[in-house]
Amino acid sequence: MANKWKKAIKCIVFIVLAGACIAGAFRIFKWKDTSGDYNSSIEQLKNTPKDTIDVVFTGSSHTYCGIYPGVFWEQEGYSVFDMAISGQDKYSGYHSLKELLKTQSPKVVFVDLYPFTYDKHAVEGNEHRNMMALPTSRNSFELLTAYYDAEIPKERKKMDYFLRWPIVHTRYRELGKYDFLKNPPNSYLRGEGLMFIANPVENYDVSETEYNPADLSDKNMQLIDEFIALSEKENFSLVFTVIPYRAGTENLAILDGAVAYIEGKGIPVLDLNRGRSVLNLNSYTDFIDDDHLNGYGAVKLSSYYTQYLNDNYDLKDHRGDSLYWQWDADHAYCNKLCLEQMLDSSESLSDALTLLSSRKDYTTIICLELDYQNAEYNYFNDLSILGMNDEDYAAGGGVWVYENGALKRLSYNTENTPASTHELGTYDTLSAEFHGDFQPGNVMINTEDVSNIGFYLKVTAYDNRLERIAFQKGY
Amino acid sequence: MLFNSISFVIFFPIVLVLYLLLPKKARPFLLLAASYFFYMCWNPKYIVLIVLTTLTTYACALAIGKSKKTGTRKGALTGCILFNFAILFLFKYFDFFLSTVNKGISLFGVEALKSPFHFLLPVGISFYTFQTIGYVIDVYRGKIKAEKNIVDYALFVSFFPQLVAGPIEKSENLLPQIKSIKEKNLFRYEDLVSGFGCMLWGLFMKMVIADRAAILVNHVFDEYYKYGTVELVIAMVLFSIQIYADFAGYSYIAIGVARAMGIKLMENFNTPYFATGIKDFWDRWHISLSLWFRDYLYIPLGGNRKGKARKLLNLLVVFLASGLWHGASWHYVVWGGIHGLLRCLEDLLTPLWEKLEKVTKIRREPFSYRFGKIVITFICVNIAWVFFRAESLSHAAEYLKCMFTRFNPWVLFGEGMYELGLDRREFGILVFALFMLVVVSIIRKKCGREIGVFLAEQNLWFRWAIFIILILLIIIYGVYGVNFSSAKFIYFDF
Repeated sequence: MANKWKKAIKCIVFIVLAGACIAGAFRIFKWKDTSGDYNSSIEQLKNTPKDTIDVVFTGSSHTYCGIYPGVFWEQEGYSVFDMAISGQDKYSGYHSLKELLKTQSPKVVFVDLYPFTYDKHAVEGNEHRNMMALPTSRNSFELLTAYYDAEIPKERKKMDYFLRWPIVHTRYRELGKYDFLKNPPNSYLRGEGLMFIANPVENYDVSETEYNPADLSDKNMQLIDEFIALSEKENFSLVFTVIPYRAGTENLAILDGAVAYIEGKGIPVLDLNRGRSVLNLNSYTDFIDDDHLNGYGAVKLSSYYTQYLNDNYDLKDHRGDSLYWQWDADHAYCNKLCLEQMLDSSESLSDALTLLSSRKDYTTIICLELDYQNAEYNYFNDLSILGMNDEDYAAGGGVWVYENGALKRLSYNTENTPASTHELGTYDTLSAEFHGDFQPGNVMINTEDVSNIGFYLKVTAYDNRLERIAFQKGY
Repeated sequence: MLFNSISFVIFFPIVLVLYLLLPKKARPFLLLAASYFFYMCWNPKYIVLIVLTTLTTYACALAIGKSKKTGTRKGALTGCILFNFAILFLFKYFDFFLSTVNKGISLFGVEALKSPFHFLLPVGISFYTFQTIGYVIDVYRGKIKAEKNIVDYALFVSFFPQLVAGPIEKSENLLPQIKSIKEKNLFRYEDLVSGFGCMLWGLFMKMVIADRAAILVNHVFDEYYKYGTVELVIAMVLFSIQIYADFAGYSYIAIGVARAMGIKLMENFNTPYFATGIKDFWDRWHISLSLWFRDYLYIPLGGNRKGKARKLLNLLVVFLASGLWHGASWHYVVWGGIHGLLRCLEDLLTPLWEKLEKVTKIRREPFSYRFGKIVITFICVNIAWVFFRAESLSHAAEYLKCMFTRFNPWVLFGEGMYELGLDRREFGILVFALFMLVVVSIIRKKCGREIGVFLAEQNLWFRWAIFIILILLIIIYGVYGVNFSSAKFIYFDF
C-alpha cells in the first residue's frame, strides 16, 4: 500500500514539475503584440492600480494613434486609458471594456464607432491580436463565441484561440529580448501608440459626401444596445464617437446610420469625422497616413476631448497623487519620444547637441574621425555645447561619451593597450577599437556598429532607461 | 480525434483515470465506449461499418468454432472473408476499380461508367478488416478459440489505441489480454512510465520530425520540375524519414497509450533503416502487416514449400497485395511490385553474392560491411518510396528522370537549400531532431529495448528530465496550430 502511495506521489510531483516547466515556457512563448513593440493595452491595464482610470476610449488604431492620455493628464490631470487594440472589432471592443470593468470604475467611456463598419477582420494578424488579447476567462470565451457566432468551423478556431498554445508555439521563430524580460513602457503606457512621424495626406472633405445613413445591421444594433445596457449596469457615462479617418462612402453611410440610431436613444455622439473641422487638423503635419493621426494630430484631438470632458463632466485632477504615477511616467515617455522625433528632424549638429545636453536619461556618444581637420566644417563650437575644450579638440579625433553632464574621452586601442569600453546598460557595452578612419567597427555598442562611415562626425544617443539606441546621425 | 490533438490530450487522461477508478468488471465497457467515441469523432456514421464487421466476424468465428463439418467451417470462413473484403472493396477500391475499367473500355470507344457511390474512405478500415479476418482464420485454424463475449470481442476489434492505424494485432496476443481486463489488474506503474515515454517519443517523431520534413517534401514533390538532383534526392530521403517518423511515431503513441493501461501491443517498427537487405527491411518495417501477409497470404499460397519459382511468385503476389493494401492506385501497386522484385532479386542473387564475397575476400565482420549493405538497402527503399509518395506513376517517373539527369551539386553551396519550404532555422531544428532519432535508433538496436522501456529503467531524475525536455520540444517545435491543418497521420488513409 505504501508503495502504491509512493508511486502516486511520484506521479503528482512529476505532473506539478512538468506543469511548472510548461507554465514557465508559456510565459516566454505566449502571444505578445510584437508588431506593437511588445506594448499591449491589456498588459498595461493589468499593471494599472485598481479604480484609477476615470476615462476610457475603446477602439482600433484610430484610437491609440489619436488619443494620447498624456495630453489629458498634462492639461487637466484626467486619468485616461486607451482600451484599444489594432483593428479592434466591435465584439473585442465590448469585451475589452468588460475586462477593464473587472478592476476599474470609469466615469466616462468613449466608444469609437469605426469597428462597427466591419464584422470580420480582414487581416489575420488582427484576428490573432483581438482574439488572444484578453486573458483566458469566461469573458474571453464570450468574445470568441460572439465573434465566431456565424461561422461553421468556429469550434476548432475558438478552441485554438481559447487554449492559445496551438498558436503561440510558433513564436520560437521570433523570440526577442522582451519575451524574456519585462518591456518597461508596458508598465506605464496608457494604451496609446505614440508616433510623431508626419506624412502629408490628401485633404478629406466629408461635407462633399452625401448624408445617406444606412440601415443599421442587427448585429450592430444589438451591440450598441449592449454597450448602453452595460453603461447603465456599471454606472458610467457612455459617449459614442467617430475618430477622424478617411471613410469611404459605404463606411460613412454605416457610421451615419449608427450615429442616427444612437442619437435616437438619447446617448451623446461626437462624430469628429463629419465634424473634423473643429479640430483644425493640418493635412501636412498631423497625420501618419489617411486613417491615422500622428502625435501632433493626437494632441489636437485629445485636447478637444479634454475640453469636452471639462464642459460636461466633473472629473478629478489626479496630478500629484502618487497612486497615479503611471500617468506621470506615460507623459514623460510621450515627451521623450517627441524629443527623439525632434532630434531626427533637427537640421544642425548644434540643435541636436543642445537638445541632448540637458538630458540625463541619455548617453551621448560622439565619434570624430582622426582627420577631421580635412572637413570643411569646424565642429568645435557645436561640441563645446557638451563641454569640449580647445585642447581636447586639438588633440585629434576620437570617441567621447557625454553622460550626466560630463564629457569623457575614450582612448582607442594601441599596440600596447586594449580597446576602451564603457558600460551603457545592463546588457550593453560601448567599445572603441580603431580600424582606420571611416572604417566600420571603430565604435560598437555590443555588436551593433555605430561608427561614422561616410561622415567626419557622428552623434549617437543611447537611452539609459530603455537601454536602446534612440538616435544616430552623421554630420 | 488525432493523437496529436488537444482533444486527445483531454480524452486520454480522462479514460485512463476512469479506467483505474472503475471496478475491473466495468473496464471493458468503458474501453469499448471510449473506443467507439474515439472512432465516431471522425465520422459518426462509419461506426456502423465497425459494428457490422464486428458482428459478422464474431458470428462467423462462433459458427466455425462450433461446427465440426469442414464444409460448414470453410463456408463460414469464405463467406466472412468475402463479405468483409467486399465492404473494404466498396469503400476503398471501388473507385479505383471503376477508373481502371473506364480506362480499359475507353480504348474501345465505350462511354465511361459513372460511380453510383460517393463514399469517403472510412478511417482505419484496412487495419480493422485485416485484424478481424486474421482472427477468423486463426479460429478456423484452431490457433485460438472463438470469442463468446461480444463486449470483449468488440473491444478487440475497436481498441482505440490501435484502431485507426494499427498495429494489426494478432488475436492470440491482444484478445487474451482484453479478456483478462475484467479478471485481474493489468495496470503497472512501470508500464505507465514506459508507456508515457513511448507516447512522448511518438509525438516527437510525428510532430517535430514528420510534419516538419513534410513541408519540404510537399514543396519539392509538388514542383519537382523546378529542381535538380540535389533537391530531389533530399526530398526523397526526407520523405523516407517523414513516412517512418509519421507511421512509427503513431505506432509508438498507440503502443504507449495501450501500455499505460497495461495492455501490450506488438512492436511495429524495429529500426527499419538499419536493415541490411529487403527481407530484413520488411522484418523491421510495419512488422504487424508483414506478419499478417506472411501468415494469411504467403503461407497459404505455398510459401517456400513448392519450389523456388513458386516461392518467388508468392513473394511477388504478397508484395503486390501489400502495395494495393496501402492505397487504391497503381503507383502503390508498382511500389509493392518494386519491393517484390527487389526481394526476389535478393533471393536469387544471394548465393552469387556470397561466392563473390569469397572470391574477393570481403570480410563480413567489420562494421563497414554491414554499413555498406545498410546504405544499399536504404537507397533501394528510397527510390521505391518515390512511387509511394508520387501522385501517379507518371509523376514518379518524371521525378526520377529529373533526379537522375539534372546533376546540380552547386546547389549545396548556396542559399537555395533554404528556399524549399524550410528556412535555415527550421532546417537546423530538423537536423537536430534527426540526430535525436538516430541516437534513439542506436539505443534501440544496442539495448534491444524501445525507448519507453529504456527510459523507464533509468534513474528518476534522468527520466523526468528527458520527459520534460520532450514535452517542451514537442510543444515548442511541433508543427501544429492555427493555419496548420494537423496533417493526418499518413497511414490513416490506408
